[in-house]
Amino acid sequence: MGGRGGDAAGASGEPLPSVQASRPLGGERRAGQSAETPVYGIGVGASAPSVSARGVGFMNDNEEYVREFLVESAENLDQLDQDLVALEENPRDSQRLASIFRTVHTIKGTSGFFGFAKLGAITHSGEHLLGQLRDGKIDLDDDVTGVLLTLVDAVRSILERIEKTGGEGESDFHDLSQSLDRVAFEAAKRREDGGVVITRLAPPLPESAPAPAPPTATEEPLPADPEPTAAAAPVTIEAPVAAEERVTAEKPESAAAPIAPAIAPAITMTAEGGASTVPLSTAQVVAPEAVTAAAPPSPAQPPAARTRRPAVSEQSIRVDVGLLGTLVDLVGELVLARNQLESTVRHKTATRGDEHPELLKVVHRIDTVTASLQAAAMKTRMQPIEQVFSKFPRIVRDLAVVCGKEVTLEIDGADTELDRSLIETIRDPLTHLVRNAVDHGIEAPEVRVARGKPAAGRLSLRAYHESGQVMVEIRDDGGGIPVDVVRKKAVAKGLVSAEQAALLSEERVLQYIFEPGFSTAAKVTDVSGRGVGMDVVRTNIEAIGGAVDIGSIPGSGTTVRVRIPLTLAIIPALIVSSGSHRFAIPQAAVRELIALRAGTNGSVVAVEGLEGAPVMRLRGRLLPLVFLGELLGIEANAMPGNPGHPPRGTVVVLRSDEVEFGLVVDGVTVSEDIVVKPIVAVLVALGLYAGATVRGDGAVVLILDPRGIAHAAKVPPRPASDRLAEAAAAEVAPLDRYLVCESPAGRVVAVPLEEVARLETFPRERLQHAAGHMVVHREGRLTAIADVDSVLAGVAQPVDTPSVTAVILSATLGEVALRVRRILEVVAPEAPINRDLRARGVLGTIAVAGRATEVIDVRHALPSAPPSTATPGVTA
Amino acid sequence: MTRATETIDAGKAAAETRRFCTFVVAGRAFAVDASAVQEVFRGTVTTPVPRGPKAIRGLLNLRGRIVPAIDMRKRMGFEPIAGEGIHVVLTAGGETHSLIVDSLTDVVDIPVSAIETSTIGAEGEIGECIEGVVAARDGLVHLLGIEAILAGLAEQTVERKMR
Repeated sequence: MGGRGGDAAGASGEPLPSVQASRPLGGERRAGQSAETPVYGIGVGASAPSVSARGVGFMNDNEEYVREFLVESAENLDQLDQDLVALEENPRDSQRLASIFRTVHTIKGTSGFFGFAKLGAITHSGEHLLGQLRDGKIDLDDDVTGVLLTLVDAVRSILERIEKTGGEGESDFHDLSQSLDRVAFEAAKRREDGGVVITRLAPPLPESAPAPAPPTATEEPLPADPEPTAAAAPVTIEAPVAAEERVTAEKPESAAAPIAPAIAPAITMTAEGGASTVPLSTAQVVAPEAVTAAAPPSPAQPPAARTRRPAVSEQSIRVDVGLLGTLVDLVGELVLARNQLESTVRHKTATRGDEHPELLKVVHRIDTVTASLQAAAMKTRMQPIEQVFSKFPRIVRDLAVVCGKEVTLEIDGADTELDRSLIETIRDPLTHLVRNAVDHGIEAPEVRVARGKPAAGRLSLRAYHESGQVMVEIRDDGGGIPVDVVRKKAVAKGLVSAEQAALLSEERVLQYIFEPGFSTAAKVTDVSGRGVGMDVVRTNIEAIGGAVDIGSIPGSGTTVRVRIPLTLAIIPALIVSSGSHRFAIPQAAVRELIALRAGTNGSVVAVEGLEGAPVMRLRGRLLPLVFLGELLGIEANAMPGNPGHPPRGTVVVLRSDEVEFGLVVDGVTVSEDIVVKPIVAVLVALGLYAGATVRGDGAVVLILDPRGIAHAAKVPPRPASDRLAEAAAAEVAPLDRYLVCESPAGRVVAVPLEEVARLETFPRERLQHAAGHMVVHREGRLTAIADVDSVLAGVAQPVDTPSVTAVILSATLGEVALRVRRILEVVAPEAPINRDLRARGVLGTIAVAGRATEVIDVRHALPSAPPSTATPGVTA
Repeated sequence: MTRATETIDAGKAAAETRRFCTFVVAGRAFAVDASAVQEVFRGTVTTPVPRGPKAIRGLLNLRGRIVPAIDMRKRMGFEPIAGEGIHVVLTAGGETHSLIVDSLTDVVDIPVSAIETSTIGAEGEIGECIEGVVAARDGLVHLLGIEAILAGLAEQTVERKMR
């Protein structure tokens, strides 16, 4: 970079803006431009010693601009997609049309600057068509929208080509240019008064254009002879062309010489096409200026474009991602230094009794500034989910056309932010879900009308933050998923036996959708239904610690809910101890924590040896145990022990992929957000650690990789069929188990085990009233608590015991605690639940040891459920 | 860094030299390419890596970067010594490692022609790490290669995993 001449350095300042800015200027500027030509001659000065050296210089400089052009254009194209689809909805939106016009114009202008002839040609034709639209000479119809969208695709493919190869590629977009012109022509003809317009049609296409002088050795390095147009509206784009010509002029024997990849295409064109030469691209680029200049419909347009663009660029700049990473790292360092400073000052104050109010003030100030800086630095990693959503209007539109459907897309919460690194990861899964909704979810218009729905289906995308995670909801009002078809298919695929399948609840059956090779589409379409997809969606989302849920109501639609962590850089983790070591475990893998103590109720927790491998009986199931201390070869308290000495410690129940196991550690220190730092390859190769983190005190803590640990400890994976149906040993699926408990009033009831998150006991003092509900303060937040009797009978029982036992219901429903007197047992009834025997708050009835037992409908326990008639009171 | 690269780029010129950072491990003189050296400091390591390579004494927090510290005595099969060490922090192949050595000696320019690479003569774990030898006034200086040091580490890891 440093070796460039002063002239060339000047060019790096503002190559693109000058193209725009000088557009409306008249011919008097020309002389000056000729004088400035070296500015655009970027490293191809006449005095350069050799062709190869010049080539390098040119590439280095120009590449930077080309890259900038590519990045900017990619953003613009996404915007174009959206704008065009929106314009189709509202063809009168002149502002949007103007914005589309500007975007195409900018790409066209810049492509001329770099000599991308094909790009110039098609965007020129597109611009012409848009000009006609803007001037009200033609109407926007399906043809016009279609061809404009094709243009966007073509531009995108050329840009991708340029990015990969540096050239525009072999594809001939001549047809596209023609159809753009034809559509413009026909649309104009369709209008009765359109005859006049035709005379203003764009200049001829590349091949049919009069061939200007080929760029052979000319002594004058100025634009050869762009006669047809230059006189009408000279633009600065000529300047780079002049530069190109100088290149060819100096090396006339081979116009296609590999002077620089960026410039090569234009020159190669010369060699191939003969007639379509570099100066021609100037002609194409310049021509529309003549058109717009001649037809003065909206003279205010170019100035508007000039004033708006800089305004946007002033508010955001491009920053190297690596630099941001460095910034975040350094802020982390600052946080540690701050901590040390604080503890040093405190220590001095405490031990020596030195009082330094001024010093303390400064420390406090550094503290607050550091905290703000840290928050701001982390925010630089966040980007709106709009980056993914913005593609959907176009995708949905195209797909609806292909499938012959009418779809209205609603997008909500596009400004919801999440970590940059996650945006790309979720793009494909979300796209797949959206495609599925259009292709399989929403019915054809005639079917919808027959079913009494509006012809146009509704697809709504909603993103929002919920408890530190991003939720994305994809909801359609289509036909829903045929549960019975899924059930039959699961049986046919041998995933579950027919008898068991009949017992499974609808929600359970829907889970089969996520099995590999599972598709319910009656016919395979281009779009989806090829049996790949939902399993990949789930795998991808789970790989980043997220989750996918699906719900469907036959006849009225399907809702898929995707839960995504905010960031991968900062994750919630459990800090556990094993001997003198500390480790972090990603919270996403943690299912529950169980204390392992000698003398605890043996029926709930007991460690057993199964062929030497320790297992634990947990709610009737055997959970393999891995002792962390033993696995890592470190001195820890929690060790397998002998039969006579049951082990102590804490079991962290982990789930990863197909494996579920209990990791036994000495204790759990704290749950906190950690910053994930990479570790070197040699340590990654161990397969035990996912990274490391630096804690507040500066200590480095390794992050355990649950999957790697399961692998290292040889925890057997559970087969897919087992995972879903718990088919082993003709066991009924655990999700069809019930927790039987006694209500405060002494009634024996059952709760579906799948709804139960865990059981807790807390002192009565923690119960409080809030917003007409009873709440309990636990884990730093408030959870609504309902008692079983009020759910069933609407009559609440007073809290008359010093401690309260509660069943915490799973968070998918919204976390809620159900107050009971005591827990009796977990049962797996032989007969399925009888749903005929139900009442308010009662889902149905099961038989427990020959006694009819009501199963609570936990939805009635939710605060949003129909309010219970009485609010339980706390007797003091 | 740029200067060292340029020196290498200058090609086969007779006067070409490479700059090395020399240090002592277990009484012997060793050296690493100075252009890879980020910094040198004295300090201790707090976080061991269970089941990691035996030569990795632990992890360092180097301004937010997690850096493994390789005990060069252990890596080369010498009798280890406890306590603080001198950390020579190297960056190579996009990763940063720290070599714990006994003491730092000097930074020297060594003519490329003086580096003997064909017959190093050292075997075993030392031999694995050495890329060349230079005869200096006060004895042999062994030139260490970071890739070679790391490659051997991975093997040490595998052994432990199979245990």
